[in-house]
Amino acid sequence: MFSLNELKTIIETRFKMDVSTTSGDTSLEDIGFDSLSQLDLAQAIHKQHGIKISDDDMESISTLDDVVNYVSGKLS
Amino acid sequence: MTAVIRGIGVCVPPNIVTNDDISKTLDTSDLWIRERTGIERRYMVDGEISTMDLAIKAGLRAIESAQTNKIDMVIVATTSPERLCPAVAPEVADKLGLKGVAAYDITSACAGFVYGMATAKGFVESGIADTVLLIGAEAFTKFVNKDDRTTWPIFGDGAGAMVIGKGEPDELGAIGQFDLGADGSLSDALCTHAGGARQRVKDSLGQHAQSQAYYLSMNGRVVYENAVSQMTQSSLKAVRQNDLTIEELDWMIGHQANIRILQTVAYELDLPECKVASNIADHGNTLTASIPLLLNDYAHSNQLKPGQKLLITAFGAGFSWGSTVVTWPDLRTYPKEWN
Repeated sequence: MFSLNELKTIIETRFKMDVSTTSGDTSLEDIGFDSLSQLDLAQAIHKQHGIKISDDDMESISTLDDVVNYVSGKLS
Repeated sequence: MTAVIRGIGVCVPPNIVTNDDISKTLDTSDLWIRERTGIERRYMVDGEISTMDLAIKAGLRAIESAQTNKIDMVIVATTSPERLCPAVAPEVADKLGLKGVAAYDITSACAGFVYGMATAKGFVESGIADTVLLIGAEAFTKFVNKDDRTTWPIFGDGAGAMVIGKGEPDELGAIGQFDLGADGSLSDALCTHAGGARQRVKDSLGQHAQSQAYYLSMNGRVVYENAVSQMTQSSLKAVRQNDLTIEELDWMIGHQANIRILQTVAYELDLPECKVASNIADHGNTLTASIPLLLNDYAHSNQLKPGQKLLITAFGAGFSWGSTVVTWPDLRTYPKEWN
């Protein structure tokens, strides 16, 4: 399992952003991510959990919950 | 015996182009360019100044820095040669008064200076040359389409040179072991399609190439992902090969293509961001010139100090990449300005 809190920790550590009050249905764009940030997030998740998010899959991810569900699915 | 850095010199053209200047002709903005690349301005050639002019000035300053005239080989790393044939280096050597010395070019795009350092080290340590003048010189903006907003804001021009001679492994300036690599399967992701033998003027069907084919094209996403991945892996290999740890490094001297690539590589290496050297805000991506321009900027402003351990790493078209570790020497440095 991969939780929303784990994702928030990665975002806060990697991007030095405060996302503590952000909900799962918030979009990555709304917290200030651009296309490069999404690549960096994928890289950070790969570094910590060994899960690689493909370019095609990344295009279908828009919210924090989308990321959580994707990583959880891969881990299970 | 090992190869050591004896001198450094750089040069930029006088013309400065800001993001606001670029935004006047392209659908982009200062904020967009800065946020995604870290670039604020860049030096660009205009008028008569070309690659060789920059190479000569940088080379002369490096020779003065090294306080020697006993150069017996000149290597120019460039992605923007004066002509397809011959190489730039023989003419540069001639203009520097280095009559009859060995001189040739190497082409390895943004990794060219690191490949050049490895080549120079090999020549010096094998005894084929005593002292090599290595120059990375680019007027690459002449090969970038002014109407392409994905590439035109990124690049700048300039030259940097290093004198590499014989020394001892424990001496300041010692150049360590290298990790070098390449992956030609992704060459189309960052390339200039036309102008070479494959598509000289017309393609295989006799059609004239589209004008964009004569300029650089880039798949930014593929380049970004591979740059991060390969610079990280190559850096780790180089650090291990030189019996060091990431914690022992004082600076990461990375090729200045994009500040966010450098920050991500540092994150992957667990290297504190304060150890990431960067002058990309002032230069943009100057390809083979970026490593020596960064070294000179930091040394001239006393941010680089003798004895500090530097990780040098670069990635570029090819794809090709390389990394090494250097102990920074006590060098005389000069300003980078044209005059």
